[in-house]
Amino acid sequence: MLDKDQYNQDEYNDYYKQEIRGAETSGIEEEEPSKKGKILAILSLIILAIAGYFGYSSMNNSTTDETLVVKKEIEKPAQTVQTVEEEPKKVEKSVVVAEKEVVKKPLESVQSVTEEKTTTSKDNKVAEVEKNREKAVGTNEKMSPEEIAKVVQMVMSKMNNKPKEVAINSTEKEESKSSVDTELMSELSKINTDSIDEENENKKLEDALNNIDDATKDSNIKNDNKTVDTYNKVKVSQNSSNNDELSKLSSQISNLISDKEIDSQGEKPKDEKIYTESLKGEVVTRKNEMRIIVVRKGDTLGKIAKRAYGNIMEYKKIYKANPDILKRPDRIYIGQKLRIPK
Amino acid sequence: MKKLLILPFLASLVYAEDNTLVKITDTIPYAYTIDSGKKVKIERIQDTSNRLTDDYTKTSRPCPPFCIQPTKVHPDIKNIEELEILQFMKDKVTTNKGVIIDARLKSWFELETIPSAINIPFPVMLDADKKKAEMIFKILGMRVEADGTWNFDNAKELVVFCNGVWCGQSAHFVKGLLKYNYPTSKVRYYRSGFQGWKLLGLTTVVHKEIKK
Repeated sequence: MLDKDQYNQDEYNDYYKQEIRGAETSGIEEEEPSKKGKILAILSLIILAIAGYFGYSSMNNSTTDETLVVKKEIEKPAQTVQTVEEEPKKVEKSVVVAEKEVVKKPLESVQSVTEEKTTTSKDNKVAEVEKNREKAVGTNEKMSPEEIAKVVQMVMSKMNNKPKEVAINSTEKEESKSSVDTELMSELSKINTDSIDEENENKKLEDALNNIDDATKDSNIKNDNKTVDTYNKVKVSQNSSNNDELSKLSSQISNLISDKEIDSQGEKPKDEKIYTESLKGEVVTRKNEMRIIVVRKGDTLGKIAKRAYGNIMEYKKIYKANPDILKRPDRIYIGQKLRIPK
Repeated sequence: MKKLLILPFLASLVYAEDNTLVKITDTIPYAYTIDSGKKVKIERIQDTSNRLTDDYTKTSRPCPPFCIQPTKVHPDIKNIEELEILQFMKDKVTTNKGVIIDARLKSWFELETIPSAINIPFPVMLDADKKKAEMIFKILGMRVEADGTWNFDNAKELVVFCNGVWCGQSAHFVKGLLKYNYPTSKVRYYRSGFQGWKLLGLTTVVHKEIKK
């Protein structure tokens, strides 16, 4: 009996394991990595924030005392700036390190350079701003523990998509040097070739912008066989063949109303004229706020995201904004009109 | 024995009925109305992670003209909200006793609107002279008596809406309606408007261009 029970128990265990494995491979598999990624990202952000806070507060404390010591150390940051310009990926690192006031930490080789020029060029400038600030303020190694720096490095290696945010944070702290920043930003916009491409593209796409109503209609026509899409929009056609009373009423009304009458405002009181006019202004505003990009040969969502936002990882934003057109982020087709949210 | 076989099948039907995750109320999963002669199912977006992305997520438009509206558009006009509108669609619209009026400008209406709504842009009503108003009211069921008085006994009940709480187009429309004494008891105001409708993920309709 015991043997049999034992056998049953083993069988049960085996079955149980199989079931767990099955669950792992079938259902949960798709969600797990993204969750892990999110958790990692959040954790790393928290660590960064804490490190940044300590670094920043310590910097504030030490500004007056250590100016003499600082003069000796100025040379080293200057060197890092030079290396920074040669190897763009290191720049991000130096930005973060600078923010944590661990400037003297030697720059190690980071993982392969995959990111675009846009962010790195921005980072160059940001890094320079940081160096300027250090010259004025002074570096401080005492207060920032090296452990935090190591953790930050590890985190950075896992955060390909985050360095831009960090850079932005560091620029935000530069409120006192806002004039410098604006100059840098104007330079950046000149340097950034992608943005120039974007402008040209925008000119080409003015027609698409003007016909944004048509564009949204097109996107619905593609889903003709499917009446309800993610937007929960149903397309109906107003034909004269519709015989129900409501359709008749609707067509009677629309026959009664000509577009000219809406526009003609001859006898209106002045404030109402202004009211209607200002409403029309909002229509134009709305058209300008939504940008439409037509997919060209060789485009991927990542490339479009890079052109639009300067960051490949922003492709999710575009993907989410076009649920009726894009079923999968890796399937886009030439001629598709994608909405690019600002 | 056959009955026994049928039972699970029926049970599955009931289950399918309950399958709607995001219902309108706990007892109403969806509703139907008619738009342009087509039966339209009104339900809510079932994707629980869905968020609005475009026009109706905007917080700030210049005021004037996009000012926050008072609760009531007129002391005698009742306000109604989504559930009453669904009821109104069932009781009044499908039986031709009432219409839902989109008082926004045509460009807004064409882009997207509430199912079964018809468009009377507010300037049309507001600027209408008596003759024009008579024509519009006749379409809405008003009868002109022999002595020239306007009889609103069979006039349709109206639900007026526009973009939402920041949109005064309904108010302007109602002003035009009341200028020619359309009975206030036959008018309702949906203050949350189209934004309120969108925010709940309720079905909207896009009208194809009218071919003449």
